[in-house]
Amino acid sequence: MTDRRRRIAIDDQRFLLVATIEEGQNLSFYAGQMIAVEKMDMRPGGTEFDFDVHSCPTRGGVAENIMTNRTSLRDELIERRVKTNVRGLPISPGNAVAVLRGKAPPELTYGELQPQVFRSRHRTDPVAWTINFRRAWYAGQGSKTVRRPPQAQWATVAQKAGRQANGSASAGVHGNAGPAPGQADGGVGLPTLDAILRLYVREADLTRYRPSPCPFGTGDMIFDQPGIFQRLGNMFGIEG
Amino acid sequence: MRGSLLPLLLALGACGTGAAPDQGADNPPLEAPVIGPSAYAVFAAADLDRGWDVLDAMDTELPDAQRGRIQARGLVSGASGEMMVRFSGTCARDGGFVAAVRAVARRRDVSPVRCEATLPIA
Repeated sequence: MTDRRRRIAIDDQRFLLVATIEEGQNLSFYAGQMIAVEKMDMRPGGTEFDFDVHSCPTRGGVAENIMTNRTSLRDELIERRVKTNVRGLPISPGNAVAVLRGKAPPELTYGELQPQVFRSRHRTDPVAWTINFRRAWYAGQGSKTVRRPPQAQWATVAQKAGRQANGSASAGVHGNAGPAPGQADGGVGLPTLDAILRLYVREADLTRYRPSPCPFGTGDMIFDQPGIFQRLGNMFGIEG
Repeated sequence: MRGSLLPLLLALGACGTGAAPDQGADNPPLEAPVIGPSAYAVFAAADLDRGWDVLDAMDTELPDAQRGRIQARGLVSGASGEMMVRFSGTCARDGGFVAAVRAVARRRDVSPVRCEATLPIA
């Protein structure tokens, strides 16, 4: 089993990892009515994720065209907008209490993030989805007591990259420092510590899943922004 | 009375920017940024785990320049079991990306890796 979970269970539903999305990118796909999106950032500290999840019905297996304005589109398509800290707090409440009592240093634990389930209101089979991962804000905490993923996994990474130092497989990956920019190996060797979104679909929906090359919700919009004269006209009840 | 209010209303109306209230620096338009063309490096793995091993290994084994071009990774379809990585660039001008992916895949006994301009529309 790797440190990156590929199979998860939420409320007795089994989900499979089907895609990951990098910051600033989007992914359109067809799937069932329910998906799960996981925010992942392996860096210590908090990260804010800003992403949209849209769904729209399909007809004949492809997403229906949208003829609407921006406001209607937003109301129609966005299931939920997420902009939150990872777990809301830089450290867990339990650790905070421990720190206040002087019993333990603050500790961050990798892998505590829970995927968020999205249910589409549309009943078609399949449902078309788009995830826009706009950006992430990273606020590092600089804690030296970050619990890393299982050492065996990291040791393997270190060995493959030839980073085994001083006979200790974990020595090269235990510290805070990753490869510095401009290092001779071009940064190869340690996992990239970037914020990504991980997309899961229900195991039962796996055969429905396929990415769509054409994002919906962008080319289909009709923009209807009232100009100043139209606004004035509306103000006085003048038609046209 | 109404005539005396008209200039005030006109002045107030002119203060507006014309932008919808849901737009602004804190709430950018819905579209995700589209940065140039993209293409897909596609390969078939024996199973899902083997495919993800290759995709995850790109984090550690691709040079930074190539790693930064990754846009999304995952299944081509749940039915076929093929895996893909979408990257910035085209098949004709991939800047060595597909070759780098091919090397990562070959180290895990996965081959061949081909480049597709778009994903098949089933």
